Amino acid sequence: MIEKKENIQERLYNISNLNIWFAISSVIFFAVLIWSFVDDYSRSWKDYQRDFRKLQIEKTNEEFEKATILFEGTAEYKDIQKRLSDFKELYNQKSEEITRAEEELLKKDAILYRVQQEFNFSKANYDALKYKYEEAVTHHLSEANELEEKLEKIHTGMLGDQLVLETAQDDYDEQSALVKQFSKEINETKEEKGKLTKQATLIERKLINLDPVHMDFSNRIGNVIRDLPFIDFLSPYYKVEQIVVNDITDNVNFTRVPKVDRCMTCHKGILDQEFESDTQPFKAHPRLDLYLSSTSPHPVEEFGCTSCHGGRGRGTDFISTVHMPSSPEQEKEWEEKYDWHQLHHWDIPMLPAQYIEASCFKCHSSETSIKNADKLNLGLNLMERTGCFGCHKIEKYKDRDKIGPNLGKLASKVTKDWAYNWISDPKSFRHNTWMPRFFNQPNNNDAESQKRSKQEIHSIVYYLFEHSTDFKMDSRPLEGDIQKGEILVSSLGCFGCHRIESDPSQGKTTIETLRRDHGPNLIGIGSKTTPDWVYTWLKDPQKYSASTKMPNLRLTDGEAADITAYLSRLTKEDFLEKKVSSLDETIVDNIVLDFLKKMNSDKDARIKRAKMNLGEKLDFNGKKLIRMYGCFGCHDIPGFENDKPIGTELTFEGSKLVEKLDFGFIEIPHSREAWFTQKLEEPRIFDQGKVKLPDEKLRMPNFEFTEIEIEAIVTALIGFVKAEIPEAKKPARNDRNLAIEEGEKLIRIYNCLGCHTIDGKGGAIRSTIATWLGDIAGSSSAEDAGLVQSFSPPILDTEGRKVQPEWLFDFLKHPSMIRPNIQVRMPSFMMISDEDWNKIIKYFQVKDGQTLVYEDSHQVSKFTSSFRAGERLQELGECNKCHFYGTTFPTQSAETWAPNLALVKERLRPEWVSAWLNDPQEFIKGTKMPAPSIPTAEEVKDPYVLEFVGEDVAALAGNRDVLINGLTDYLYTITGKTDISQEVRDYFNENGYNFLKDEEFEGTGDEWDDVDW
Amino acid sequence: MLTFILLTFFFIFPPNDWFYKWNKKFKLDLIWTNKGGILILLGLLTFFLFGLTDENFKLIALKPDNVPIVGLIFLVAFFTWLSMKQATENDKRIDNNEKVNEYHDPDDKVLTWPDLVYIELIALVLCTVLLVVWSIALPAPLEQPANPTLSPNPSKAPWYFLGLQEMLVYFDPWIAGVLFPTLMLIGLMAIPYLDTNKEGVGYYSFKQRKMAVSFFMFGWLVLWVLLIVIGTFLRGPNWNFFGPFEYWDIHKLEPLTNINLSDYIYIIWFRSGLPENILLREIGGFILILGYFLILPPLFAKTMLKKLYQKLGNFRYSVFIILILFAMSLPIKMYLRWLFNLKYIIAIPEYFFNI
Repeated sequence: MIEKKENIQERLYNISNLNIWFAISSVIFFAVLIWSFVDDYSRSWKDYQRDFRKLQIEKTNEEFEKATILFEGTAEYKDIQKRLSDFKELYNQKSEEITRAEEELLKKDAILYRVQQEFNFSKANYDALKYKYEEAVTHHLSEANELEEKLEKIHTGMLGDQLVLETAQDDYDEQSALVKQFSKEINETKEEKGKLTKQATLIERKLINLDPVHMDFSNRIGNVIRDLPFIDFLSPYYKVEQIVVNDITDNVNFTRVPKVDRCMTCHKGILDQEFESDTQPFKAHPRLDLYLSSTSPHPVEEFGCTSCHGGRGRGTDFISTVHMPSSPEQEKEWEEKYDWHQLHHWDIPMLPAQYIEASCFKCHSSETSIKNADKLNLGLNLMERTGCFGCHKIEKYKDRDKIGPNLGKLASKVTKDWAYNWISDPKSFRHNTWMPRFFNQPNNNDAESQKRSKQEIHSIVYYLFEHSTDFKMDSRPLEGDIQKGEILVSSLGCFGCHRIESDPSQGKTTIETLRRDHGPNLIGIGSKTTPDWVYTWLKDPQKYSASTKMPNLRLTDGEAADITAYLSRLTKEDFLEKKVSSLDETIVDNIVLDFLKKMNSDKDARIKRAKMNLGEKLDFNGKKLIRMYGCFGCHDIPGFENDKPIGTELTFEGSKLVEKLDFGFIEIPHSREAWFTQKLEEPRIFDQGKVKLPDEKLRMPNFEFTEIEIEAIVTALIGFVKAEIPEAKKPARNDRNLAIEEGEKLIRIYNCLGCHTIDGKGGAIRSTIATWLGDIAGSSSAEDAGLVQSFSPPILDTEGRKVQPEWLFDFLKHPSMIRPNIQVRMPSFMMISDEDWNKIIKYFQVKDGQTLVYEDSHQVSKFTSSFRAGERLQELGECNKCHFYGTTFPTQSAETWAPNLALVKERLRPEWVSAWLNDPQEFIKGTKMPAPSIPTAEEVKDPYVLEFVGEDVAALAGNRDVLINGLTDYLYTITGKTDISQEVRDYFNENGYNFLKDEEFEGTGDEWDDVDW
Repeated sequence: MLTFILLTFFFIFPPNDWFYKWNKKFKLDLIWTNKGGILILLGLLTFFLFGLTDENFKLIALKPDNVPIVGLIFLVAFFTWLSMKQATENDKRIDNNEKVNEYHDPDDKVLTWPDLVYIELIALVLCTVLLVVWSIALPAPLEQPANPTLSPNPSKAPWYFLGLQEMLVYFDPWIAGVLFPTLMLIGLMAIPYLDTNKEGVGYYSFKQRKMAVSFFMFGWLVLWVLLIVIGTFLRGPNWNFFGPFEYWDIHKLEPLTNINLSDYIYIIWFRSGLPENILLREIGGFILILGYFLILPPLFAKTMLKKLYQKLGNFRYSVFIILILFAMSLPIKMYLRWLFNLKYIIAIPEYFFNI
């Protein structure tokens, strides 16, 4: 005791207190350690996987039930079940017998084994002796004879053993057959049952892996243990699922690392159609035909997820993967549900759902029309149409022509007042013009700026008119007829590119509506320019502007005068009445000084200004202002031939870091999408709240885009990314694809699809053809889709297979009449070079798999039986009812007139003609061309038919191909005048378009009488 | 605030009798009592609790990176208070000719085990607990891949170097990044040779080592800890100065046009152009610097630091005073910058020699 007390005294601290402290801290330490493991073990993706497993179990059980129900009730299954139970009973009854038989079998098996052994021994002995004997014989040894005797003896013994063995074997087989007999039938029945329940068994097998309820005891334990902490590295059920794409890389600035996408860790149902209607994150991808599945063009193993969707593929929770909401509502929902905030440490956040098509552009940038990406296509088309590339360099649109009209001869076209009012507010003249508004915008609509703006516009107009060159206009031969003009405009094909619609409520912008906005809406044209100018322009657009896309419609003087008369009547009086503010020299002076001071000291600037007269000042300002606002980006303006675009390059705008966008004082989400959207809605808004001098202000004009247009353009902009995609992942750059791209680009530039239809796209003009038909022949005609089609520009599917390339080239250079009764006219595109025409022809050929540029003309022998049969078929089919044979007119009325068959020889390809004759509807749906009736072998057995079709046809009856080829051959021998336009024109001059007229609808037909065809 | 701290500092930690007199007069030593300690704690807590109601303050104070610095403020305050409390108590005992608190009979010894090692073990366990809890509760932030075209704004040094980074605002890199850190190390190495005072070993006392404690505290609290706190909480984007409750607006601009001493002398006072000759141009600066280092030491030796000079002797006094002058040059330069927009005292950009 005493010792202990001393001990305590010797120590500074109370040791038992220390023990308690140590115990407490150790317990805390242990608890914290456990906490760290729990914290490390619990991951949100595991919860998702557990939920998914539940869902999967539920679904599979359902499926299992469904599969079970399929057979459970059936009589067949009941029968099998009954038989099985019968067998079982029988088996029980016979059990004694069976046991005995089995025992016997066992015994016989033992005998068989013993005998087999004995035989093996004797055979081995025999073989060894045989070798000895052979050696002795070869070396002439003395014991050879002795050995021979021994050999003989052993051989006899062996044969005896063999006999015994065979008997034993037979005995055994017999016995085992006896045993097997008992189970044979039962096995067969079981097999039958297996077949019936195969589907269910497969699902059950899946369930055994999935659902603990279906597992056996040991697996159930394993199911728990495999996912325990520490052990779960071996073979866990819940694990991170990742896809590594080696050749698509993420740029981490100093190096590139292969894409690793772990999205499927939570999105477990993404590949399985079964989950198409489940909620996120288990929902299947909506387009498995296009993405992810191994049969789609974009299998997940090759493309991953984030290469299109963006986001951080390596992340495994909701926030670290940088999910991005597609609407403020969703953002709010996520904030509540997931505590969502944007992870700013990743430069490429996930694309909000509405912009996802942007990613297509990464690889498909060279295509004009990207399949299944309507929004992106619309965005690209809008950018092309609004001419974004005029001010912003965009790689895709380099070397494109400026989209606005040439202003080099402006003075001959409009008045100064008109130009002033137009620049100040273009939409007040034409509600859907693409010309944007530069003035009266949020950053220049204060009173001071407005005054300045007015003088700026004066200066610009002055410059344009001062530098405008003379243009000699043709004089009109006569005042045209307004009504004739109206009909010409609506029938010749003007509406493929233009509209005349004063109603601003146009509805949704689509690629199809854009085709009809290719040229300007013609409302108010009479208030804009003079009839002489319109007339001259119509006669030859290239005369005024060599770079215009307006083709030449080969109008006669009369037609041009009629159209001029009609167009000149389309006026907008209120626009002309708008006041033009007076010129204010003080403000003009200030503007001059501002510009001069950029390069000069204040004193020098004032001296220079003093030397200028008013005209010089305006001219000086005009030039500076045109340069400042970048007018030359869209218009050819004298003096600005070599200026560079004024805007930011947009080629890689989608990769621009958000940090490099100036949000100013505008409170919107800091994302590219939000910035682009805001910029397009109100281009000058980021100046709000800033103090800036006039020339420091933002200059992008307001296009007044609609919401739909903005979303489409933003989609395209986000798509303009700098991505290093390996060639193997992009569409192949082979001849075929390149030719198609080139062709589609030209077809887009010249708006061919405004009139024509290819692959179901285009034909924007059709609705106006219907209107025209309605006007001249009553509403029932307008509703007849077949009639509208037969009076519309042609569908160009299979054009490459159809026509001979030389003919096509010739036709495109010098269009001529093909369908005699239609009014729509293929224009002459004088500005398209031979090179481009070749590209267009190659496009059609490549699209149809044609590779030959030169082909021999079709050789026909008139002495074959098939030719004679063809000739007869042609008579029977009465082709001459609708078709011209040279100058021979068809027997039916003009409504059903069809192309001149004398053209076949030089125009069409025989392979196509045969295929066409076989089934015209397959080529052009809704065509009026009937398939010729080709008799079958059965039919010609009827003597009446035989007599009717004639010997030649009958001989080949049943041989459809040969007969059709015969008919084709015949068509290639039809001769006559190929260009019958004069004859047709004469006919219509005489008879008019009366054939179309409904009986109750009369009036307009007569006016066609003197239409100058 | 810095001015307040600088002005009051030597009254709180008086290096000589004059300051000590004032210290007594204001009863500033009351800070080092329990009441004073609680008051400091309450003051700090109130400030932070009040501050956390402000969004901008909260954003910066609770950022995982900055939490240690918040801890640092409390810990430095606590340990300064604790040591000074013990020192004050000891001073009183010494005045009363009592033995200091920590006094032990030299023969009275304890065993390493359990009295030392056991306690260390417990402390070790608890420290580990703290680190584990910290790492779970405030996970290390995962930031984006380094991007050479996009440096983070503000770009901050690790917290323990923020003092150096702060100096870079006022001095050229060769001074702030090379000379000063070197002098700091030399200074720390020189302490045992400069401070030969044998009193105050093994216990805290202020009176016995007024000079040593106050100068060390100045270097440690003002020139090091305070600059770290400023660098962490008050330096925002573009290294602009932001008040504790101010929003860190990346677009904030501060007028930063500064001029050199030579411009002051020749252009503003003499209203003539700068002379061609570099030496002539910078003569004012040279005089000032030389005066600072050559005239001030003997001046102090004759006046305020007379006793010290006698005690240390010529050489050690020189080393000591030079080190102190270098240390003082930082606040001096700061004030010159703030009050006069002074950029450099000597500016010879031709030879990259700017002071």
